Amino acid sequence: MAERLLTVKGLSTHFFTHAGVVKAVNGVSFTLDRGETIGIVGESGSGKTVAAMSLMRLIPDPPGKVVEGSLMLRDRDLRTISDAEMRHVRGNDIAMIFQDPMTSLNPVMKVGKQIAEAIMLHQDKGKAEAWQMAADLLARVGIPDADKRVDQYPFEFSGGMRQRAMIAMAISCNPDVLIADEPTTALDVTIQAQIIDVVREMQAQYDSGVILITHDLGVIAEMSDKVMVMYGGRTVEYGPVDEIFYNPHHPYTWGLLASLPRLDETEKSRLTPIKGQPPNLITLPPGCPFTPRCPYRRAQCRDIWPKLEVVGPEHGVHCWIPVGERVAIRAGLPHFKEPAV
Amino acid sequence: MIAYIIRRLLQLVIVLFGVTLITFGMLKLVPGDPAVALAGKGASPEKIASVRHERGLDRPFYVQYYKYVERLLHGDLGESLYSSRPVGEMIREAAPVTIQLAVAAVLIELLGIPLGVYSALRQYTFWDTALTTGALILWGIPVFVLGYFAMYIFGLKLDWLPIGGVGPTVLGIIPSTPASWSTLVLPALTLGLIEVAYISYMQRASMLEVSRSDFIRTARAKGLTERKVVWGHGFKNAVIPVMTIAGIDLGVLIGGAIITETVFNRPGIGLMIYQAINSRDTAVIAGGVLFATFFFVFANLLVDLGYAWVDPRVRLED
Repeated sequence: MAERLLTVKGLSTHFFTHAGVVKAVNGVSFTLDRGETIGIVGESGSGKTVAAMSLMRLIPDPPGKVVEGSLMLRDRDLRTISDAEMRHVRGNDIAMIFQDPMTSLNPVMKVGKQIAEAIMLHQDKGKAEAWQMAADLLARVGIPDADKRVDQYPFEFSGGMRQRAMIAMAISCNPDVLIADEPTTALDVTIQAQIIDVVREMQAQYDSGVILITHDLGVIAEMSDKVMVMYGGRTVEYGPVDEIFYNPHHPYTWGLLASLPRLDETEKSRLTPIKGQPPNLITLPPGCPFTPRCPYRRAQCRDIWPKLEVVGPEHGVHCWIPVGERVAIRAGLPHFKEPAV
Repeated sequence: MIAYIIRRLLQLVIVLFGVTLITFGMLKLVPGDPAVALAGKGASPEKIASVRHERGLDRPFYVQYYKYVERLLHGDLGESLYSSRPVGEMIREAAPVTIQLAVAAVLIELLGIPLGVYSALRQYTFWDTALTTGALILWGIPVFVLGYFAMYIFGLKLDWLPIGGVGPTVLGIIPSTPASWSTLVLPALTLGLIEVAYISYMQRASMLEVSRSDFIRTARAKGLTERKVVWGHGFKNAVIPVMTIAGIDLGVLIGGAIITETVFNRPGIGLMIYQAINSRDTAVIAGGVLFATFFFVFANLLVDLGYAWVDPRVRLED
């Protein structure tokens, strides 16, 4: 049994704005073990990033606040430790790779310094040593001429190289948990694959637990051990990656999978979008946030949040449709007619 | 880099010629005849005509301009129509007075930088609102209103400070006696405080914008202390645009704080130009404006070079 790194229970993060309370994350729970990768998937505004930022305690307060839940890093409660302790956790125990490498690096500071800074802070190394380690890290994430590159500024790096530099920065202190927030979204498709490889290699090397936030199910399929599907700040389905792809139970998960282009589609056909608009997080219904867009909604869906229903090994879903009916509906959907194996 | 500087200096020469042409043209367009002013009150038409001929004022515009530029190329800015003194000498005398005030005012306005940062870090608190409101009010006061007000309070009512004039200096611009320092206080504060308001306002906006950027989040995610995030990552990015403003201000102020120098009766470039305009002293106005333009363009060049120095992304194209 691998070491349990993270235990998140009932996490709710809200933003208190003039327009009203934005309920960005509502009662999200998950765990992460050493060497494991959990994919958090959902559309923009589903609460993926806010959930991760809550773990780092980087939610701007005000207006944001973690209003409920427990966040345990091994046996440490991330909600109650002091700011100084939290700073020690950031970068050292939990590190983060951000979405846009073009803006996530300080434009007027040398790349080497931006990496060395974290090393000097957390590992009690001198400047020269930290600088050398920064160069080594750049080489390790696949940047050629690392000794020269370490002395350059971000604008001298391409997008893919900047993301590699971000990864170097994130792994510089050998963190237990690595949060990758849409690490490939801003990059070219060819570069995306390389970056995923780098993240995977680094995970293997350091045996970190990885939280992968993305709306790209392809990336999820390639990297994750388990998947959490989020919608409107709630976890609607949760399970091992194969279960989510081959035995999905929530109508939103069906929609996500059906919206993927398929290579085995012979005739010209349009992609299948999920009809309707993403929910307004201020006026969320007390029940299932997907209700307005769900073609199979019931009377109680809007008002009562369904309890977790276990439908497979470590596979849970929150949905009011009875399980038998669900399987029958799914079998009738074009995307799921033949198992996509 | 060298090529860039040379090119910019050549551009400066072109700008200066343009400025002389425009100044000359404008002085010909405005009503009033310098010959009448020169000949003195109640002079006979013959006297006026002879003065006009003597000074070459009866020649066509382009001839007058050509003569002026020709002399200019020999380093001769001409003579004052009024006092017959060489304009070059007048500028040499007036410039240190103006530079002293400009440097002092810019040094004071730099106080706006910490104030702006302070405001930004405490956005929407009492002190932020107080500073921002105060800055806006101060910024809205015309310099002559603030100047006369300060003179009235600190000069006349309280009698703490002299209301005008200048004192002895070392190295041309540094006041050498307490009395000399005291003459600088009111004009420098008047000019400086208004700019402090502007600078702090800009610094606040710039700091707030930077603090929302992604790389600040990255810096926090590394576990850096708030102080390092703010000063190590935020400040350098936020101060660049503000330094530009301060640099250009220095150029503008050296060009002559006409109003301030007039209010405080400081014999600098501004007062010189003001008096020359009143007496239609063409050569002095042209010389003064030339001097002002030179420093304005030169300060811009220095700002651009400074930019390249603090911001690695800026590479000056050769």
